[in-house]
Amino acid sequence: MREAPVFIPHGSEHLAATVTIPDDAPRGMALLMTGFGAPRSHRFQMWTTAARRLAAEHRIGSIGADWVGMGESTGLLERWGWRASWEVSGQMASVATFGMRVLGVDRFVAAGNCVGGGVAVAMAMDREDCIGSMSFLTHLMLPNSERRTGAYARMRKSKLAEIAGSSRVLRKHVIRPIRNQVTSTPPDFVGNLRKALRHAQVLFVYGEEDPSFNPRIQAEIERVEASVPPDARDRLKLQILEGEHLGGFESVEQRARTIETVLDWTERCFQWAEARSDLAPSSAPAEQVT
Amino acid sequence: MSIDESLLESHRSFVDQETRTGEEFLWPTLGGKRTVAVLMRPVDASRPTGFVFCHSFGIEQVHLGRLEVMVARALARAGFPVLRYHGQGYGESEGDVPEITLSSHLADAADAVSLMRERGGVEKVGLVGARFGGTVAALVADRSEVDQLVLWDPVVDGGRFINGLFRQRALAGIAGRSKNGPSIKEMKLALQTDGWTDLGGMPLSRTAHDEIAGVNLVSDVVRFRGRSLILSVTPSGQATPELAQLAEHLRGLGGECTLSPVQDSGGFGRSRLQDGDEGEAKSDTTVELARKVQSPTLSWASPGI
Repeated sequence: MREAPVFIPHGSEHLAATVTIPDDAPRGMALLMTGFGAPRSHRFQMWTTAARRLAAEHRIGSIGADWVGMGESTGLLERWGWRASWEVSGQMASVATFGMRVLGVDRFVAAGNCVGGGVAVAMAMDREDCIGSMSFLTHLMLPNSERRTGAYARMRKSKLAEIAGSSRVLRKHVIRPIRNQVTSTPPDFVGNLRKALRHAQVLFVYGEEDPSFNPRIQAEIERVEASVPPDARDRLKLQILEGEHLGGFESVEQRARTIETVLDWTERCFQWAEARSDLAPSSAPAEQVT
Repeated sequence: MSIDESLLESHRSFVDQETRTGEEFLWPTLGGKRTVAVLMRPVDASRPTGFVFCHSFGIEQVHLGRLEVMVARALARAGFPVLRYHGQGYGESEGDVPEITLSSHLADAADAVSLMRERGGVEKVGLVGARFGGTVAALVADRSEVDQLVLWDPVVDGGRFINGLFRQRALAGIAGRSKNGPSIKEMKLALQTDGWTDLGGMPLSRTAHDEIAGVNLVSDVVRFRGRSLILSVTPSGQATPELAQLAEHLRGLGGECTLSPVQDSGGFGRSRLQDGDEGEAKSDTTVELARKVQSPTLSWASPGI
């Protein structure tokens, strides 16, 4: 296993990225993304460790990159909107294309948290070469009108929200019901998710106490599950960690568990894709793993 | 094997024609293991002094990383070669997080100074460090041939610094950000009994704790006589008595030290992400902070510009 840091051109900017290369021909690639504010290696090497283990234990190459205006990439980023995941997904499309060219593979799995998690599921929705996605702590419930976006921003910055936010009971019984009134999943979310399940395995992970989690997300995903064939149903999973706050991955145990989830889901996606004759073959199927 | 090596090699560096600077990824051995470093240089003639950035400790390395990149680029645009690196246990270094200690930070920085001399084409080397990175920079400058020192709100008293990290972790638990967050007493007990504790996702070893807790720049820097700049970043815009004392100490050793206050209330070394205003999800005040830090740093590094 070895690593190669690179600068990938994207428009007028350069995205700092690292390609992790297995010793033998890679089976495919994982695209590892962060939320805004974390470097591409993620806090305390979470993605670095995941990338090294994917290469050494699963023969899967990977690429992780800093967003424009973050980490070691060029550019400036001072503020962003609620639909940032959809607005910046082009950056990671450039990164995925570059990584697959370097590794000589034609399919990948996308994983990320927060904004990166949104991009991961967007990749699965948009690209048939994306055979799986993992979205940790992804804000799927977004303000559903211009007027409500402003009201929501004011509410979040209010003294009342600050006080309520420090109490688990108030968060659940005051903040969440108010948020429910002003937010919804993006338009066509259900339709696009159904489309993704034709060629990809999709995983969402939340801590029950995370602000990004909302029982309505569970209801939407159950609605998709009910509307797709049984085999596609198996390719969609929502994991809710009871009583947990996963934001920031602020414990050694949460970090380790997240890495294991990424390794397991990535392996599952490649095994499934390698067994399917209707998906384009990658350069080196699983049988060659030694 | 179908790895496109030429594609990798051709993207290891780039040149920005607008700013006439270039950046190159290196894969050097620092602190005994391989790691990632970035060398930034002017395309045209360089100044004779190069700067090496020493990053901070733990989660502060993440929170201050972007600020360091931005000011490093500003220094490169002003003609200085600049080297940044991922210390062992951080980023894409070969070292693992539990190996991080004060000793590892010092070894990384000392090797980075040698790397700058080899690769930067410079006659002199200066060190730049924020918070605990400033502590590391000052200690390495004291033990090596470093001419210039830039310290942004450096940690003078390591014991106070490490206790502050414990306090932050415990408060995160009280605020409900972490499930059953440990108390300071429990974290210190774990250090004694298990040899490590979980500092918000970072496994902090007892060795790291003890080394850091034992540092005090006023007593431990004893030889440095070069030029230095200390930025004291405070909400009031007044320099702290602790940094005034450090500046006085450096002058007492025979060096030339400038102490400059910088007003900022966003928390230096903390996350700069904030809830956004209308129509925005979040904002990042790092750019604003970089402007405040960059200006006195550049003026000091290149008088007359």
